[in-house]
Amino acid sequence: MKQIDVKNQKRLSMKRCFDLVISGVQFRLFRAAITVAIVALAVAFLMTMLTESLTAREVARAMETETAPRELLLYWVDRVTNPMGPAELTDELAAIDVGGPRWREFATWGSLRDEQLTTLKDVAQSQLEYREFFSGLDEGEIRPLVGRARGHRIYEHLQTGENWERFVTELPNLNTQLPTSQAEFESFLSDWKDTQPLRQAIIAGQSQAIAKAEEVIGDPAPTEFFATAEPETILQLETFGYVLPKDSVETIREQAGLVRHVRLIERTLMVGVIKNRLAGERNAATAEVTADMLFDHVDGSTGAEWLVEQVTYVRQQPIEIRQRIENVKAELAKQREIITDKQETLAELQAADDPDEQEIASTKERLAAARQAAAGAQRKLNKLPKELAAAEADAQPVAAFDIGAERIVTAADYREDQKSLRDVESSIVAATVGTSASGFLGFSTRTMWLVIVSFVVCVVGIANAMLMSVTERFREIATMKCLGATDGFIMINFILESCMQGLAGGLIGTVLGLLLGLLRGWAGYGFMALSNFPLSQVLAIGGVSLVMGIVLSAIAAVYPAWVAARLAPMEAMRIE
Amino acid sequence: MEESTTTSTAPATGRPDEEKPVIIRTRDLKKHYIMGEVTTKALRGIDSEVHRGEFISILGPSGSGKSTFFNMIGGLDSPTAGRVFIDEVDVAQLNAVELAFLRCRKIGYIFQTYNLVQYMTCIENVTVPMAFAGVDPDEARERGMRLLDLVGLKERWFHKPIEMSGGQQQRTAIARSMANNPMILLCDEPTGNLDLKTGQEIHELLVRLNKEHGVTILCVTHDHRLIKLSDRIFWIRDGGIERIAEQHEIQVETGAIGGEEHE
Repeated sequence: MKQIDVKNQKRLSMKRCFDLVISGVQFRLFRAAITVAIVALAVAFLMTMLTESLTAREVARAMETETAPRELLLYWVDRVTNPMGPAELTDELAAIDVGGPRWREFATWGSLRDEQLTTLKDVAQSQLEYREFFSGLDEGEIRPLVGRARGHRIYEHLQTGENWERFVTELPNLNTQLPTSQAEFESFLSDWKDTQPLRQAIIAGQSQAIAKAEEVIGDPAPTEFFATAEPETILQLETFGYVLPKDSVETIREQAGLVRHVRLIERTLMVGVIKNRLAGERNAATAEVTADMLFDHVDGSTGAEWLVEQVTYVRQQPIEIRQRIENVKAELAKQREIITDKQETLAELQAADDPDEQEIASTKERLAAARQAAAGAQRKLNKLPKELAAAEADAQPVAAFDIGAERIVTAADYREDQKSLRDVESSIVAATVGTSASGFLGFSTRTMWLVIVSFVVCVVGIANAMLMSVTERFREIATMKCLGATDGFIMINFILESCMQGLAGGLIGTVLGLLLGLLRGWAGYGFMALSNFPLSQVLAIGGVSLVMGIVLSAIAAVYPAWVAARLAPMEAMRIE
Repeated sequence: MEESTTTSTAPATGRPDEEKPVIIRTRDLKKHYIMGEVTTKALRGIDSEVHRGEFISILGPSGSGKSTFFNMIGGLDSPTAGRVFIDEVDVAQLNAVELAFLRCRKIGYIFQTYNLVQYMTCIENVTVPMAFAGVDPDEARERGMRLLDLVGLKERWFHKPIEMSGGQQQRTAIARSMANNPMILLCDEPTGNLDLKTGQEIHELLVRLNKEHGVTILCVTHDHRLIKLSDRIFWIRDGGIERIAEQHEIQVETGAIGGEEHE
């Protein structure tokens, strides 16, 4: 028998495969378009989700910087007015930075040494664990354990031997277990008891500090104080144990100033005249005038100057009225003088030996005129104080108004910013409901699930389209096999075709998804989404989406390609 | 059981005087199709020999197993038992990739429905097997043009299949089957879909390839004129070769051929 001269069939170069696939795809453009559309949809969905979650994250990050100054102000207003309770103190202690501002404050307030604070921190951290354990219990479970005690009183309650005995007996009846062993809990209880005076010392020291701060701040609201006081005065707080960084002082003052200005502008609406005039300016009924309308009106130099004018006018009114009162009083005095004078003249004339009748008549006439004028002045004088009171009442709300047009515009802008920040904040809260910040790419489990389902649907769709394509081409495939195509070539041919469709679909989907994501971001966060758009990250995830589209198509094509490759070449002989 | 089924097997070798080498040889070739519990015996043990350069027609009623036989010697299907030697190579011993090699270089296929790739031009169709054989594209094109010249379609090389008549398509298919200079051409009713005149042209082309290029041709056909041109005729019935007729017998028996067919 002759030596076998059959060798392995050559493998086709990738370029040849590629050319063949291209001409094949061009021939079946419609089916290819369907596959492309499926991929595009799935990829667009993924891309939108990714873009959205990235935008939300970036905006949230930007929000933190944007709101930081205001938060700082609110924090300090809270600090100098509200003392913290035992629960807050535990939170603060558990998270305290060694040597940080709070550390130093607590050290001063409680006259504590560093090692005492370290102990407090350890105790607080354990306490948080136990707090979680106790708050996880329902009423029926906690009552037998510790009676009516709740919160930090539980640890007080358990100090007595009797209560502890009961706790220990009841504990095994629970479904849940203590986070630590019973012995550890017992030692925690004794630690807690030992450190309780230290905590009380801190709280007492804090109360004193707040009392002293209140003296410095005086009558006005703390915001007013921070807005108007000199930095040195604010830094006086440090002498009461507060640790207030110098650069914070400037920020706080600035923020407090803006808040104060906004409030000043808002108060102008309490003046009836200004309200009426604003209604006139805005073509609205007086009842319709709102603070938003006012700020909208003054957000610009013309409007701001208008407001300044109004305020000046309102404040000018009492002064003018007072001036008028003075004038009227002077007039009255003058008329009274005339009256006295004329009366004397008249008496003299009448007492004369030969009274000049003509003279007497004219004097009487004058007297009557003077009396009439005096009576008029008196009437005016009676009315004016009422007017004065009204004008003064009007002027009172704007008494402290001491800002110019420029400041008004700044304050209006600030209020606008704060308002949009609040909107964005609520959007972020809505967008991040149920999401965990630690999740993959910021995805929640639910979103993740949706994306996975969309991928599965996509793979099934592509597989279906490819399978149809294979069925349609049975004869072509079989003929190719008769002409010497290997199974591998057929397989690569189909997978390559699918990958190319995946690439096209991926590109379309990425662009589409990016646009959609941008739009949704814009709808949710307004310009903050655009100004904080994470471009480089989005480009990176665009690449990921594209690759995802190709990979999905390749996976989906495996089965159809296998079916095609397995096809017997004699199918080519079949006549339909 | 298998041994007992070899009914009506005609003597395998027609001409013992052969100086020409044997190119296709089958030995006790059997093919069974198992469908559920029923076993269909498509081939019941065929022994046959085809010599190089022969022109052979295969005849048989439908369901006789002629298509199965045809697929076996074309390396398109593997036998249940027995052997097929093509150019002294046992086809059953080859793996999938080697079979692809065999189909690519040693055998050319011509189908009743032409089976041209619809999205390729004439010349692209002709050069597909060359691409599979790894021929350089430029050389493939040159050779493809020569082949198109041979079948008389040189002027239409850029046409797509739908732009050509059935005869032209079949001629393209013949050019394609000759792409890698095969030793054997397997034709499955090559003129079945063509009118008489066009069919005649195809016959002439096949005969020319047979005579001038020395290609061995096996042809499943019902066309009398083609049968007349054959060197030998295999009659297949019930999965076996019923009879083999020589060229000189054909002339005499032409009338009887029609009687043999039941279609």
